[in-house]
Amino acid sequence: MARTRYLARRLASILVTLLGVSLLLFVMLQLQPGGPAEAMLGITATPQRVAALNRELGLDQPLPEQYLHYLVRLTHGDLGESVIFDRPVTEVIAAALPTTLKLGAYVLILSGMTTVSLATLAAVRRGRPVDHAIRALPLVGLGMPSFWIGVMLLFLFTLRFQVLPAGGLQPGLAGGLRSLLLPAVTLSVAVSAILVRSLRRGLIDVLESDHVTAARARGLTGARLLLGHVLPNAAIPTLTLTSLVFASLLGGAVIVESVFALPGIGQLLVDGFRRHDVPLVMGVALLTAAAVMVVNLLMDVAYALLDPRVGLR
Amino acid sequence: MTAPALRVRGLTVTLDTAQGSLRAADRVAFDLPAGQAVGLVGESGSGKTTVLRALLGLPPRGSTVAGSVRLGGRELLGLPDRELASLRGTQVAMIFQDPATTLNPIRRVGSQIGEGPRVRLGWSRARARDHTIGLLRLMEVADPERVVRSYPHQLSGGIRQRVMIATALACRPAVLLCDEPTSALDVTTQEQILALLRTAAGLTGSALVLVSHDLAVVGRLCSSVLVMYAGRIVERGPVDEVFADPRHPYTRALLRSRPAATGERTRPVPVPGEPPDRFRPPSGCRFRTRCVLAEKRCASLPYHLTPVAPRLTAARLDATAPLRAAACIHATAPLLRAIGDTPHPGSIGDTPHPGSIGDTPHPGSIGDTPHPGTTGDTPHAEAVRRTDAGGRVSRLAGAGTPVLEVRGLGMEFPGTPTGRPFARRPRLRAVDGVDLHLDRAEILGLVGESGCGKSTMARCIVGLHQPTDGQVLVDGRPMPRHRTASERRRLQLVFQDPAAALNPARRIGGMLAELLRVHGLATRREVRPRCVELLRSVGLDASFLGAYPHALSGGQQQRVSLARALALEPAAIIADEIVSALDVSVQASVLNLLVDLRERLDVAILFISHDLAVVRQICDRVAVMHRGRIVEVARVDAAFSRPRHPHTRRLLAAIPTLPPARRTPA
Amino acid sequence: MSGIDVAAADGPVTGTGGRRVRSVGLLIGVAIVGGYLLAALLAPWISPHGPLELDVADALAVPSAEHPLGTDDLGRDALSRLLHAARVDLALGVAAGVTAYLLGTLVGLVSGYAGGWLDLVLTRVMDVVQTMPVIVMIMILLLVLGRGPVGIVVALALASWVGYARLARGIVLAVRNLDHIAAARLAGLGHPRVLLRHVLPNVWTQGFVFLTSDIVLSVGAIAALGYLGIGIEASTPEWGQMISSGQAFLATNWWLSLAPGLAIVVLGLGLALVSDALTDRLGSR
Repeated sequence: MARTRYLARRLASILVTLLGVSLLLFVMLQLQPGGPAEAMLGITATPQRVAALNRELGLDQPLPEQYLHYLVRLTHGDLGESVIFDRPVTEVIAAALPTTLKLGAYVLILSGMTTVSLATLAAVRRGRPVDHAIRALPLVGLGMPSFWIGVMLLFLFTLRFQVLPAGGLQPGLAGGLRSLLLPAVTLSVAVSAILVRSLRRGLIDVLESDHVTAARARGLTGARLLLGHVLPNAAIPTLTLTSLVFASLLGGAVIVESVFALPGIGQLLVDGFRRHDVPLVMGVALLTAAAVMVVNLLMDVAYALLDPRVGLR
Repeated sequence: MTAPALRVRGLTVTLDTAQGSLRAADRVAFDLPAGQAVGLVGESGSGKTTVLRALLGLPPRGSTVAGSVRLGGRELLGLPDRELASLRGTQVAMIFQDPATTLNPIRRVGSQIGEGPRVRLGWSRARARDHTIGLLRLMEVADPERVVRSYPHQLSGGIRQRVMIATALACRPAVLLCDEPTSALDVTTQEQILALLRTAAGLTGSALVLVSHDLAVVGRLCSSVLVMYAGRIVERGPVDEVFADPRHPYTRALLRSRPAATGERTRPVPVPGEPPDRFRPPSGCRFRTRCVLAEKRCASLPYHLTPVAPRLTAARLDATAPLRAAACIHATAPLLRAIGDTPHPGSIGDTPHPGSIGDTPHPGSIGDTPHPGTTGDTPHAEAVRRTDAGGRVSRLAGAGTPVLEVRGLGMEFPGTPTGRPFARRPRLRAVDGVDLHLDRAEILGLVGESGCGKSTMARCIVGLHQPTDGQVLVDGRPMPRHRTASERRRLQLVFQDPAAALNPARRIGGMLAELLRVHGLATRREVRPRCVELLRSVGLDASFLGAYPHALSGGQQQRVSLARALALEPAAIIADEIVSALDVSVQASVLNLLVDLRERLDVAILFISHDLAVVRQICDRVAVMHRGRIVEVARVDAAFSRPRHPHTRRLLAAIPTLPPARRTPA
Repeated sequence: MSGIDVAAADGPVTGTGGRRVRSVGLLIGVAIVGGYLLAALLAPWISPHGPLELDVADALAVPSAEHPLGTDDLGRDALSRLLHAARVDLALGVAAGVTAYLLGTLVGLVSGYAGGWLDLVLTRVMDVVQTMPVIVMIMILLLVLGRGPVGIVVALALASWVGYARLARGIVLAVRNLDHIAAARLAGLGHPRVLLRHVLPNVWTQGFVFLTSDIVLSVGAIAALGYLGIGIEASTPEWGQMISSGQAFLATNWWLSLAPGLAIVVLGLGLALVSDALTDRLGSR
C-alpha cells in the first residue's frame, strides 16, 4: 500500500515536471528573434503569412491564454509543422524514432552487462590490481568526447580493418545489428564509465555492511550471497543514478548519430537546428524530455519493487 | 570428560593499518565446556569483538590471526574459507548487537531465518518454514505467521532481536557467540531477551560466549568470566568468585565504577586516566598507568596469568570449575587497597573517608523531609538540605522561584501514514501535557524508555522545536516563540553523541572564544583566560584549546560540550543522555563532574537518561516519563524504594543487577 | 561466478601505499593542467605558423619538420591550429563552468537553507532543466541567444548549473540537522553567522571539487557543438571542429582527427587526477 502511494506521488510529480518543460519551451518560443510566428514559418515567412499565422494561433491574445492553447495543442499531439520537411512534426519524428530506439536498447544491454561485471569484479577484489585498473578506466573514459571515440572506432573498424559498415543504417536485422554496433559501443563507454564507479561503491558498501557479515556468519557464501544479499541492495542507489544517466545518454545519441550518419532523432535535431527549423527542434526537445520522464518512472517502479521501505520516511 | 566445545590457545589478532600495526587480541586462551556460558567483559578497544569475529573465522580486513581455535576438536585457523563457511551456522553462530542493521532490510524475515537450514542442511522450503515458525514460538513471538512474512523495518526492536536469535539457533550450533545482544534495547526488553537466550541455548544445548560491557548481564547468564583490557585477558574464573573477590585492579575498578541500582547510594568511582593508545600501549602491564597499586617492576612485567586458589571449598573440589587466574603481581591475595578508597582517586596514602564505602544510610539523611506531599511535585519547593552518604550536608537547593518551569507542554507530530487511501494521518502526541519544575542547584532526573518523548521534550524546552501547547518559563518569565540570542543562552542542551555536537572544522579554543565574544561575556583580553578557566572547570587543561574535536576521546568531548554550555552562564543545563555513548569507566568521571559543577557553580541540571542506576546516583529528584506523560515525580530514594506508579515499578524491576552476593566488594 | 569467492575479498588494506599514489597523482594532474594553461596562453608565440595561414599547395601534408602534425585540407598547419584551439576551448569551457558553479551554488544554498515554498519551486525548476539532455538544452537556448561566444557560454552555463545546485542544497540540508549546528543556534548565534562560518565552508569546497571534474565536460560540450558545426564560427580553430573536418580524410590523414581528441582526453585525465586528489584531501576531515 505504501508503495502504490509512492508511485502515485511520483507520477503526479512527473506530470508537473512535464508541465514545467512545456512552459519552458513555450517561453523559448516566445523569445525567438522576430517573434514566434516568424520562427515557426522560417524561410517561408512573408508578412502576409506571418499575419495569418498570428491570427490563427491567437498570438495577439494575452500570454497565459496562448500558453493554454499551446497545451491543448500538445495534448492533441500537434507539434506544429516542420519547415524543412513540410509535414507535421509528429510524422517526421515517428519516422526517425525506430532507429534511435534500437540504438538505445542496444546501448542498454551492452552497458548493463559491462557495468555489472566490471563493478562486481572490482568490488569483490577491492584493493587488488584488478580493482585499481578498473577504477582507473573512468578517469580517462569520462573525459573522452563520444564523437571522438566514434570517429576513432570508425577509423579502426571500417577503414583499417574493414569489418563493419562505414555508416548509415543497413536494412534487415543482421545489417542493423552490424551498423549499430559501433555507435552502441561508443555510447556504452560513456555510460559505463559513470555507472561502474557508482555500482562499485554501492557494492563495497554493501559487502562491508553488517547484514552481509551476519549472512556470512550464517554460512552463506559465493553466488548465493552475491545474488541474494549483495547485488539487490547495491543496485538501489545505482538505479537512481541510471535515470540521470539516461538524459546524458540521449545527448550522446544526438552526437553519435551524426558521427555514423544514422537516420534517427538526433540527426533530425541537428539538421533542424542548422536550418533553423524551430518547430522541429522544439518537438524533438519535448520528446526527449518525455522519454527521460518515462525512464524515471520505470526506475521508480523498479525501486519500489526492490525496496519494501519505499514511501516511508 | 568430554572435549570442550571450544578450546582457544594463544589467539593473537594483529591489525595492520595506515597508522601502524596493533595487537587487537594478545594471546587469548580459554576453554568453553559444552552447554556452558562464558562471559567476555571489557570496554571499547579491549578486543572482545575482535576475539568473537576471529572465532567465527571472519577477522577484520587486513588482520593476521595466529594461535589455535579448536571447535569440537577441529582446528579452525588455517582452514580455507569454503570449509569455514560450512561450519558457520551449523557449528558456530553469532548474534549481533543491533538487529536493525544486521538483518537484510529488503528481504522478508522468514526467508532469512530459514536460509541457514536450507543452504547448509539441505532442507526443503516447507520444512524450513515449519522450523522457522517453531523457533519463533520458542522465542515467544506472538503471531509468528505474520512475522515470517514481514520485513525487518515493520517489526519492533525486541521482536527483531528475537528474530536474530532464531536465525542464529536455526541450525542448532554447538557454540553461540553473542556480541552485546542487549545493549541496543530498552531495559524491559533486555530482561526478556536475556531470559530467552538462556532457555533457548539450554534447549539446543549450545555453549555461549557472551560479550558485554555490562557486568550485570554477564553475571546473570554466565558461569565463568574473562576480563579483557587492551587486548589481553587480565582476569578469569568463575563469575561469583571474580565479582566478589577480584584479583586484578582493573576488574575491581570496573565493579566499583558501576552505579548501584540498589543498596548503598555511593558515588561511582571512575577509573583514572584514559583508555590506552592502541598503537603504543604501555610496556609491561598495560593497565599500570591507571593503576593505584602499580609498582616500578610493573613496567617490565611479562604477560602472565597467575593462578589463584579458589576461595570456596566447593569450588576447590569441583574439577570442572574454571581455573581462576589474574595477570597482576598482587593476584595471590585479596586486593587490600584499590581505587576508590579515597574520595580523590589517585591520591594514594589518604586515609579512607568514613562513609564512602558501603556505609548504611543514616535514617532520614537523604533528603527526606517530614513534610507531607514530598513525593509529589510541589511547585516552589521548600529548601532542601541534602546529606550524602558521608554525612556531609551540602548547600541548600531550591529556595524561591524555580529556575526552569514547564507548564502543560505538548508537542504533536503528524504520524506515519496508515497506508489506507484518503485516511488522515493520525497525529502523534510525543509530549502530552507535561508539568515540571527544576530548582536552583538541583539535579532532576528524567527517565523513560526510548520513544517516551524525553528527547523531544528536551528540544522543546530549549527551543529547537516549537511546542504545540504549553509554556516554558525561565526564572518565572515565559519564553516567547522566537527567542533572542540572550534568551537562548539561558537554557543549554548537551547532546548524546559527543562527536556530532562539536564542529569538526574548528578548534576548541576558537569555538569557545566565538561564544564569549558574540555574547559579550568577556573583553578581548579576558577571552583566553576565561577559556582556560572553563576548560579547567571541566577537568581539562589548557592544552586542549588548540585541539580539534576528532583528536579527543568521547569523555573529553563531552567535557568540552559541558564547557561550552557553561560558557554561556545558563540558568539550567539539559543533559540528554550524555553518558550513554561512553564507556562505563568514563561515565563515572563525567557524572562526578556534573555533581561537582552543581556544587561549585549552583547550576541546575535536567538529567535525561534511560539508565536508572545512573539517575539514582546523582539526582535529587526523578521524573518518570511514559508515552509523553509524566507518570511519577518524587525524591530519588522514595521513587526507588517505594515506587507508586506501575510503570515505575516495571522499570525498576527490569534493571539487571548483580545478585546480593555479588555486589560491590568491601 | 564460481571463480569469484566473496570471502576472499578480505585482502590487505592499502595503507600507506595508497597515500603515496595520491600525491603522485596530484602532481601529475597539476602538471598537465598547468601545461595546458601555459600552452593556451603562449599559443601565439609558440606556434610555428599562424592558425589561419593558408597554403593550399601543401594541403593534407604528412607530418614533417615544418609541419609537425601535417596540414589540413586548406593547407593550414595542424599543430598551430591545435594550440590556438586550446585558447578557445579552455576559455569558453572554464567560463561556462565557473558561471555554472557560481549560479548553481547560490541557488542551491538559498533553496536548502530557506526551505519552504521557495525550496519547492526551485527544486521543480531544477527538475525541469535536468530533464533535457545538455546538448538539447543548449540548442534550444542558442536558438534564442545566437551562436557567438557569449551565447555559447551562457547557454552552456544555463544547461549545467543544476548539478552544482543539487550538490549545494544536499550539503546544506545535511549540515542543517547536525547537532553542532543546533548547538551553535542554541548558543545564540544568528542565522547569517551560522550560514557563513559553519555551513558555507563545506559547500563551496565541495562545489569546487565538482567544478574541477566538470570543466572537462564543459570543454567536451563545446567541442561537440563544434563537431556538429553548430558552435563557434567555422574558421576559428576549435578542437571539435577540427575532428569533424578531419573525418573526411580518415583513410589517409587520420592523425588530423586523432590529435584534437587526444588533447581533450589528456586534459580530462589531468583534471580527473586533480579532482580525485582534492576529494581525498577534503574527505578526510
